Amino acid sequence: MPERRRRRFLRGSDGSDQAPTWEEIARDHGRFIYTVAYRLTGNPDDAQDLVQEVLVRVQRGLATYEPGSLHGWLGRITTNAFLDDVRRKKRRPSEALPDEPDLVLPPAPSADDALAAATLSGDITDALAALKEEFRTPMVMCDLIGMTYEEISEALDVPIGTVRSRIHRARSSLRTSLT
Amino acid sequence: MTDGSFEAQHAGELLSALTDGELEPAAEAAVQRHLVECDACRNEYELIGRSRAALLALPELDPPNDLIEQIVRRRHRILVRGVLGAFGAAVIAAVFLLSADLLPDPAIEPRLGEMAVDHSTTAVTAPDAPTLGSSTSFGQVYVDNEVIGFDLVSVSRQDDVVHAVYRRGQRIVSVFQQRGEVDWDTLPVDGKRLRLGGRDGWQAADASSTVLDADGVVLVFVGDASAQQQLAVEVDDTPSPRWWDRAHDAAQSVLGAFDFG
Repeated sequence: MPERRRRRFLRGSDGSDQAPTWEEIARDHGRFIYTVAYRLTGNPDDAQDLVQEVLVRVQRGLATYEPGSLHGWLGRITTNAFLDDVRRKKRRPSEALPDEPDLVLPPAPSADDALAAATLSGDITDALAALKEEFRTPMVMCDLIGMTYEEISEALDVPIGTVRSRIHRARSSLRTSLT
Repeated sequence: MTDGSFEAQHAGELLSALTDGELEPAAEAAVQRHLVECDACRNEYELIGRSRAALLALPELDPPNDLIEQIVRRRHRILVRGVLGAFGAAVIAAVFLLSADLLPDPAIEPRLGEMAVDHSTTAVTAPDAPTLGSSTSFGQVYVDNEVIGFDLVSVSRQDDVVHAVYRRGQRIVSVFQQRGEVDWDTLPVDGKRLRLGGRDGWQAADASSTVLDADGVVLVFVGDASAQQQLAVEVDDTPSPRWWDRAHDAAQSVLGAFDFG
């Protein structure tokens, strides 16, 4: 039976009851923030921008941090900053939104061992980056940050059913692209 | 799938939700029972789990170019400068990025003379320069290639000032961006203060340059535009957490008033 999951991945592991300083977060968890930022944005340039924005928000929000799931907290800040940027860009008339065919619609599941062949993390990274943002984001929020469907639903302002659908489609597409 | 309800409710989504522990107990039990008797769904369930496991197995990434250390060092440096400033340092250098958003806005004396020279220099080649990409990342400052009919043709940075050159036809306008607040007393006395799109501004007597204080960002426009044209500007005051986004918005709103006809 699958256990009910809530933030069991990437939980802060230091066990400390004291809130870390800003510099400790930057130095000790910068790689985590960058990794999540990269998974969300799909490219290093945007990921670097996002990291800096996240650290600004961390500075401002550190006073309200409650010791616990540090990575969960950082992941949420990263996600919120990312979503703010996405929404902001969509409001800009000068930045044309991609008008691509729905590349991520998953064909029927194919090879049984599709993932067995995907042994290189670079392949997965590329496949993840190739997903459309609307599908990649909820999957990253779910799998890498450990957010529940309800939390993702609130963050993205979409129904839970949509979250579930997009996560599944993202996984299917990821699997297919690795075939 | 042999269970009709599964077929109707997108079996794959249910299996994905099962993997995430997101099904209610009754639904979870039903799906589990179905898996016992359905090879296809069991196989699909296994693949979903492996897909998710592959994502989780990805290693953490090292930020490029010593990014984190740069941010930490820059913050230290600016904090020191801020302390020095309290004891009378004449100028607190404007900086970008994290530290820029953590400290009070520095007072800026727009170097209009240097900007006029830079504008004249770049304006010579701008008419023939190719338009830059759709969105150019330059020193963490994103500049769109098209701002209300103007094409971005060059962008450069000297110290703390980003210089973007826009073109529409043969009309060229430079936009200098720098974080901080305008020190109005340093501007030539023959210019005039004005309100520009709801923000404090200043324009040279010959209208060759215009200064705008845009929420912690100093923008200097070098080009021809009348105050009357600029006063008609509508500004999107949507708050932005990042100063370079605010700069973009402000530049976009003001550039729209540079109707050279």
